[in-house]
Amino acid sequence: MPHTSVQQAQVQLEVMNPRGEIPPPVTLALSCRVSELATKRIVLIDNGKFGANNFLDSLAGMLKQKYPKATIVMYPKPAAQTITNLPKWYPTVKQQGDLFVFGVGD
Amino acid sequence: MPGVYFITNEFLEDAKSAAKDRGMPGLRVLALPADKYYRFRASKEELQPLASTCFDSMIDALTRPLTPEEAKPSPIEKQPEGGKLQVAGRDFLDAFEKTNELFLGNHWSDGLPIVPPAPERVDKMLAGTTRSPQEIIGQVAPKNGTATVEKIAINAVMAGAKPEYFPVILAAMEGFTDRHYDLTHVQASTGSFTPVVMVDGPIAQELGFNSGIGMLGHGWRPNSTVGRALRLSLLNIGQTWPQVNDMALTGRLEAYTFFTFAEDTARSPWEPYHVSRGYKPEDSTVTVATSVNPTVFGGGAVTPWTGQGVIDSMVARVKGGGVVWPHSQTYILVLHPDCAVDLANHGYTRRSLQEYLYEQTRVPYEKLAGPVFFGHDNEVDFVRTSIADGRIRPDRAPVFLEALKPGGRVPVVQSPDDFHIMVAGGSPGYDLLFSYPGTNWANQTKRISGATLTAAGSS
Repeated sequence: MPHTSVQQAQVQLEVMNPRGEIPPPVTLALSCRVSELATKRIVLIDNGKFGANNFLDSLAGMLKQKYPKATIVMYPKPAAQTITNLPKWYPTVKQQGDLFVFGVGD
Repeated sequence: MPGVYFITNEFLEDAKSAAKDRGMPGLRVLALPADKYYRFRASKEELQPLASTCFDSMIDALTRPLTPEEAKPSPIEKQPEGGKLQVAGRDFLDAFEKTNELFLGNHWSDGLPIVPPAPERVDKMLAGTTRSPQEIIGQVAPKNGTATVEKIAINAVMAGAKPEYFPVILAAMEGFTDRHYDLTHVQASTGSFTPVVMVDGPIAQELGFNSGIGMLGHGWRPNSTVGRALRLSLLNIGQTWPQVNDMALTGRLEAYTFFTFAEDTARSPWEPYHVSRGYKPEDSTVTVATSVNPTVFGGGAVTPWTGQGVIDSMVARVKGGGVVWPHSQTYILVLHPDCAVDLANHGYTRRSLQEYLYEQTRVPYEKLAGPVFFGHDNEVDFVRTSIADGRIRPDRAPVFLEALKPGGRVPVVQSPDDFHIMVAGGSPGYDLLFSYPGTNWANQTKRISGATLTAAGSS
């Protein structure tokens, strides 16, 4: 609750709240985690920002070393401005693997 | 599908805020140190140690069982934003100062003094329109705040706007909240974009908007306060704040008033911009668009210029950008009247000028077959993907497909309409090119209506 000034005073100004009311979103549970990665298909999603591919390549290398039987899928996200395409895009991602790593957001 | 998000630490609060906005307050996010990531990201070898330090955390985020709260998150409670506040002071000046401290402390202000939005002032503002205070204009990103006529009026009072400006402000907010206007990108992006607000039609002159020398500057109350009312409305109704969920890295060039001006239709050799968009001459409209910082062209009072020279300089600037984002790029040209007249005297109409720009800015196919571009093999691949997934409209796809071969010339915009040409400025004057690498429907023109205190905009 925003704070107000409360003290003995000569003048009281009454003012209105300029903020918009936010319809609360429906809360969503996180997807259940996997118990192990050894046999899983892991999708590494590159958000297209400069350097993200280098970071995800580094992770991919370490994943392959630790989990040689896992499948690593490198998957580029459409360029950052195309957020309106995401509803069509997510099912495609889901078909690729069992879990995902997304990077690097900013 | 279980997952984990990597971001840089400067964006951690932004990421958590965005996750909560979308009903996922428990999203598992891992933060990389920004100072190291941005310095080392060009090299996989230099990034390797950083990736190593977060590897175990990543595995943990993917495998650690959900907590009860993550598995069944509590409903997000509605935060009421109605009601009135009482601010006490020793005298009026003290109460005024305390109001400003309160509002800035709550992140309800832009840092400049505001006019306290007392209910009687808001009522006066509402009297400038026939529209109901409870009418919902739209939802304002990033937090999806509800923009009612009353909420916009409160912000308009704070900005120092007059009630007769209010219908202009409402129409502009219709534009910003239109589902085709990418307000999330504008409000939140690191790109530090600034909205462009242009008023057209009889109301511009009736209200005294500046469309001449100094049109983007200070000193004209309509320009300054309409722009500021919009700035405050977007800030407060969308509930955005720098370094929290407004990540404009440098801040916006015109942070307080946006680029707000009127077209000089009296001195333009062409039909008014809003007429070219299908409106009637007697209509009054406001166009909202988005821009990176504008580039200045022409000689002004300093060096000679020609209209053709100005346009060809703009063409060179567009082509020199080196990036083809035809699915999304838009350009706004603001030509000072003398330049527009010179172009018209040499045979250009607004339409033929748009077509000239469209043709002359096409980029050779061979320039696009270069290095990796935003996760694509090259820009050619990027354009092909944009065609395939519909970001380039189906009716324009044949033009691009024809150009995507050796010897072809690829347009930088989807159609000539994406060059928006307006006439404003003084004599002497400069010419401005605004560009925006965002969704190519980011321009919105809305008709002004419901005005009670002006002859224009009343119907």
